[in-house]
Amino acid sequence: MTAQSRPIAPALPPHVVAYRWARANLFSSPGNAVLTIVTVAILGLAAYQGSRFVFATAEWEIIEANRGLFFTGRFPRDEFWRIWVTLHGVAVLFGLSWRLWGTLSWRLPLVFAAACVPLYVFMLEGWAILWTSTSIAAFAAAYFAAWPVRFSRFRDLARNLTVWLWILGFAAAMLPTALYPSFLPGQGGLFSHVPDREWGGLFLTMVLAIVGIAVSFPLGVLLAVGRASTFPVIRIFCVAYIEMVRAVPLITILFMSFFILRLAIRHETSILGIPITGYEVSVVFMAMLGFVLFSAAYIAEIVRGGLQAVPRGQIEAGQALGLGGVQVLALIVLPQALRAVIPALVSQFISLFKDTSLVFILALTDLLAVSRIAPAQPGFIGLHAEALLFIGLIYWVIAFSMSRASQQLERNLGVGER
Amino acid sequence: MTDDTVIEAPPTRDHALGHEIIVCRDVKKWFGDFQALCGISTTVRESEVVVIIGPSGSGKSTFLRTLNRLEPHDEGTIIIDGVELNNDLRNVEKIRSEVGIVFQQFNLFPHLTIERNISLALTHVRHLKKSDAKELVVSLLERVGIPEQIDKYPAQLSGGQQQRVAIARALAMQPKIMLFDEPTSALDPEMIKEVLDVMHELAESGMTMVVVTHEMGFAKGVADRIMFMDEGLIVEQGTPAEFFEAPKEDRTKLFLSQIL
Repeated sequence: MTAQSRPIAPALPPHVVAYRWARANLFSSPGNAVLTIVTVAILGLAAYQGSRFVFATAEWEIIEANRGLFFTGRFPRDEFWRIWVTLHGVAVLFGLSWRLWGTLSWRLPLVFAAACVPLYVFMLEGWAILWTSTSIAAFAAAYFAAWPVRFSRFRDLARNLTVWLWILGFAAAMLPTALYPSFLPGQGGLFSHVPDREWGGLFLTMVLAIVGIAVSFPLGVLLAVGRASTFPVIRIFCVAYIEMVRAVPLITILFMSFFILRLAIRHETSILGIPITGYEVSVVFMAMLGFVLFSAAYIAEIVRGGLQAVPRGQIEAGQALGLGGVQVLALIVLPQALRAVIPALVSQFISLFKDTSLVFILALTDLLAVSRIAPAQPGFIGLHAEALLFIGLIYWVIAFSMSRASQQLERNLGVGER
Repeated sequence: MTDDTVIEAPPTRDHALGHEIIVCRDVKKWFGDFQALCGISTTVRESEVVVIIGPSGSGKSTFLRTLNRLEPHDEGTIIIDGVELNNDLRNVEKIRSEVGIVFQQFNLFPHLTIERNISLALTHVRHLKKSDAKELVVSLLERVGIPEQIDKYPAQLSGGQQQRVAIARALAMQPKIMLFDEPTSALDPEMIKEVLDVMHELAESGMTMVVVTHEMGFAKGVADRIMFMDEGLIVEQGTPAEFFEAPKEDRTKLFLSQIL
């Protein structure tokens, strides 16, 4: 009801309004009436059974007793500080970025926090409460530290710096995973090796998803650009790669990277008399590789759609100003192409995030695998529903946050759309 | 702008024409089996304003676009300010930064503000500092009469304003030659004048201009030379007075009788 129509409409008592609405919408014909009653009965029953399970019969002790398992798998407790340090770093960078680009509203973190309440209830105890609080504090501190910079002349400098911190931080966090054990110092000490079989739970899921997204995105953009290239060699390579990967199930790629590639890298051999040392690669790294290679092909096709949506005149206008091919691509074509495909990109990211659960076939204990291990323990036998509901909630909170963030991003970047 | 009295007035521009800045010899161009340009030979002198008219499909836009190699020509030579346009990319980029072009559809960058639209090439081709580029942007926007729009996005401007920004963007590179590809054809009638006024002022300032247009008033009032093209050839050319009052070729007479 619009503001103008209100004074004209006669003021009716609320129960009359409700009665009329119900008659018009729910009981307009005998068939509709039956449908309404049946639907209400089913929904009511489901809601009753659901809430009875959640609040009465469910044995949530399985979650409380297995906190560590759900969040970090069998990651050694003594090494938890690594995860906390990473989390604090991410919090600081998020705080800086938020203020420096300032494209997201405050509604998003509030929704996120509300959805996380059940997680806090179950998961936080002792030190975890402290470190979670300091992470949030670090986020806020970074946000307010960057406050005055946003509209000062140092803004561009600060933005560049933040981007570099993201890249360097990402590399610092990931390289040891990729390179171990060949290059890092051996056992013991500050950076003692945590075998990847001990990684697990939400931590492993997030690591796989974040690496998958962060690496496959630039790779996919490169493939899309390569596919549009005028050099036949590059174009044919990109087309061949994309079409080959898209024709193979993800699970096959994971198996291949695990059984064929990993063993091949480990195999000691010699080529033309030159000995090639075998190289032990972690299973998590091979899983990451599988996700990146797979997702890149899909992202390439999404980005290609965006590239085709940029009018020819835009490229000509750039060329006519004397910009080179790479400049036209980076400054004019890609910004418009990527903006046009944000929804499709984000849904690809969300599906990659959920696909990480396939690593259970490599015997890694990600979030989904944990939900199968926990109810197999003595004392918790058969509590599958509790475990699945809990991880379902975690998956939903994260996927939903990604979806909301993308909508926000679209709205903010929509400025100046034709 | 079809004011007949303009015909009587001689060209108002009193500057002397300089050296030959555009030299075309027997330029030919094919699109598949269709020959769009069938051997164009002409020269344009510095500070000259040449208006190209002709029926649609006559190759006038194609010819204009060969002058900064948005369309590569297949045969013949084009020499811009002493540099030949050929497959040498360095020549092409050098010429493009000295030849500005204004398109029918404006082709502003929708994701950038008006300021960035104009300063993009300044910072990335001319390597100016951002503050210097901004000064130039402000003065250019003042020249085309819309300094208050600097922080807006193209979609927030009217068609006439967008085309004036496009002119400012081309001028930012301080080109020696400006090409106009039907600059007013996509505009609502009431906005045509504001764009033509800017172009007129530009001609007065001594800019070398090659203009494809259907605005006969502009052609009569501003051009030093009218060039009539049909079927990929220059059919006839001359001063506005000669061209409009005493056309020699039958095709020219037919065309003029249809549009005037």
